[in-house]
Amino acid sequence: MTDLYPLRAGNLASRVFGGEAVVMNPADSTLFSLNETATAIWLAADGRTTLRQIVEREICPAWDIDPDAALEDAERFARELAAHSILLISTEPAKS
Amino acid sequence: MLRTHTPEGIRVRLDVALESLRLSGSLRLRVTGSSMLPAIRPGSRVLIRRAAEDEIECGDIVLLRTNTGLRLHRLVSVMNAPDGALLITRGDNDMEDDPPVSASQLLGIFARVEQAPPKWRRLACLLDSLFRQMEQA
Repeated sequence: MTDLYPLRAGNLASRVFGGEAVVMNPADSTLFSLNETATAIWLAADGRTTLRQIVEREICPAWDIDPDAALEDAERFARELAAHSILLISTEPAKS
Repeated sequence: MLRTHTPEGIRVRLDVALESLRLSGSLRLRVTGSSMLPAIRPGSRVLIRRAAEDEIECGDIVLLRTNTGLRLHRLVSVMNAPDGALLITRGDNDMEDDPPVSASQLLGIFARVEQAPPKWRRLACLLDSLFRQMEQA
């Protein structure tokens, strides 16, 4: 499976409250409320860490779940946010 | 879990929306209430553009942050005060002006209705407007 590098889109308004992120897509003003797992992925999406690494570091230890199943869910989540332009996903790390 | 309808949840969402307006220059809102009938019907989705005090004039519909949330009403006058300008607004469907607010509470200006409410909401608006007129008569 190809490694994906998720990156939070720039210029987005967001707040983390009680461990959950609220993010607004400026294009259509849609508000997204992310649960704790999704928020952990969102916060770690720096464009240089692979989704697999994020899942292994942030998700699996905290929620004690199978890495492959977690990665599958994380990919689905990342692609969903990418479809709304609030997360960018690439097969290459972002240039710093 | 962040409860949408708790005061904290509402405040966080409002903060995010206003930060988005500041960052991107525009915001889409769903209007509640019938105070701007007939110009804006409840349930309409409207586009707000970020605006500064020197970009608005009487007659514009402006978005203000108030102690109770957001207000989208028509600017009827501007008063000079020692601490800065005060904006006086009024809903088109209201009989009285709103309490004055500082110009620093100006967030943006109404640009257009992007999506009208569904037909059943329009009927509800019409009835609401009729009842208001009867009450005021």
